[in-house]
Amino acid sequence: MTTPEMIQLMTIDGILAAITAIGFAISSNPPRKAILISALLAALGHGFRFSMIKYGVDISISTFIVASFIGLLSILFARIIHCPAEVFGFPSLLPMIPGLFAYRTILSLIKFMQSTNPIKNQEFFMDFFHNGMTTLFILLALVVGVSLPVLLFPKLSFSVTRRY
Amino acid sequence: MPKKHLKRHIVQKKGIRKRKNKRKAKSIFTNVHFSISLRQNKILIIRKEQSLSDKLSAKYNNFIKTTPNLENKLPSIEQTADLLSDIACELMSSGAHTMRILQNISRMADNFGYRLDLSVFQLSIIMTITDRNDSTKRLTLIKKTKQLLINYTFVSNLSALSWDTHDKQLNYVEVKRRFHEIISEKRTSRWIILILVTFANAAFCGLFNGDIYAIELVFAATLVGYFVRQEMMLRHINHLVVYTTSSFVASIVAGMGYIFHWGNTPEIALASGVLYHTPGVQLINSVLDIIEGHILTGIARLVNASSLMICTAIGLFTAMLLLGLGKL
Repeated sequence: MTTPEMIQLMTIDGILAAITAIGFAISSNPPRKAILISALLAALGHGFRFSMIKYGVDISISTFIVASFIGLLSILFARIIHCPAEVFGFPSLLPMIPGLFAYRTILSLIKFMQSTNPIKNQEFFMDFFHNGMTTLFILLALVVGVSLPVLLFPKLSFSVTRRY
Repeated sequence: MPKKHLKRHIVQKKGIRKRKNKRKAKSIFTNVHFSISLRQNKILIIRKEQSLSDKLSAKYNNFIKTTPNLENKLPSIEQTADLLSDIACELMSSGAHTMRILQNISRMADNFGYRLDLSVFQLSIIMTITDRNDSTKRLTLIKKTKQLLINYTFVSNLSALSWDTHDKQLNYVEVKRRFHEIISEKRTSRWIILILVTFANAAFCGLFNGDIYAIELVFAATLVGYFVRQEMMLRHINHLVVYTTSSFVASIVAGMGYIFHWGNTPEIALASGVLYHTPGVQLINSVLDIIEGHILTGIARLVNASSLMICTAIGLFTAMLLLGLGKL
């Protein structure tokens, strides 16, 4: 894939992710400024993750890299607008939450229960483990990545709402 | 408003009150200090609307400054414990993680001269505060938390309040006033939320490479499903039932792509039609709690979030059975 095409796809991906982040953020009722910043962070993060996956990086590793990047940026922004970092750090991760994998996990479990054919059952069991592990690892990568700055610099990240 | 009008406005208001219920009006004006100090929250709301109550709140401020009991004396241990547990409950029900609750509350307790031990659970918090100078003065209380309704404005403002308490040495009355000011703030309008979530889920379908038909289907599905969820939430129906029903309705709408053969990716429409239900903040909070060592709370949150997801999946599966679809 040529570079201009890649950039175009990344931009589209980023814009869609920004819309998603705004919608999912507003249902958790953050301050107004935080919504825009979470949209920006989500666009950056999801765009980079998209390009990384396209170049062949594993989904959970790329999620981890992007999430720690978002975590660092969100502490930076938190110091600027005096909000706790998770107020816009978490909503910007919401487009990357593995919801689809989670639902597939539960559906394959239900089908495994219903089916009586042993060969099909093996298939469902494999599906269950594949989707379940993907969900678990992406979720862990997201949270560990975004809280890595918090764990590394606890004093800095808990004092962002301080004004003096 | 010009001054002349303002005056007339005040006089009119007084007149109305007196004419309507003389006795009540009198009692309001004679016992003004008392009623205000009991109901700060209400007075604050009125203060924004009317000029008359501006006068009243000025009196209230004077009252606090001139009354030595409230300004100079330390608040009693019961009062402090009540205020701190209220703040902790509010933080818990608006979706802060456990570490933040602990830090904020113990910072405030420190300012009031108490040492604090706190453990947070899903439905209740347990708190012991001890006087730093006199360890015989101690109080333990258990308080029920409210239902989870994520509200990051509260988290942000309460966190700022705790730092202000620490830095500016705010007194008990001031902290209480600002706490009530913060929690009386209104949420975003539900219609704005409905529209933005709808667009968000449609865009989410686009992220999974759905074609334009799939995006339109998801748009319709989310609009209907989220509306059903909001209506049921207003009627205080059990959360799990709400999630199941709403995801069922959304999947029926999104599954129409299969029935009428719209577009090439009807399976993506069906799968991402219910993704607005994913309890993302709870999931992140639960893993964060487990990492930071609050394992019980973390597991409780995880179980809560996964039961919501299982209910969503059951709704989705029921819709798929009805429509005769086997694959997601």
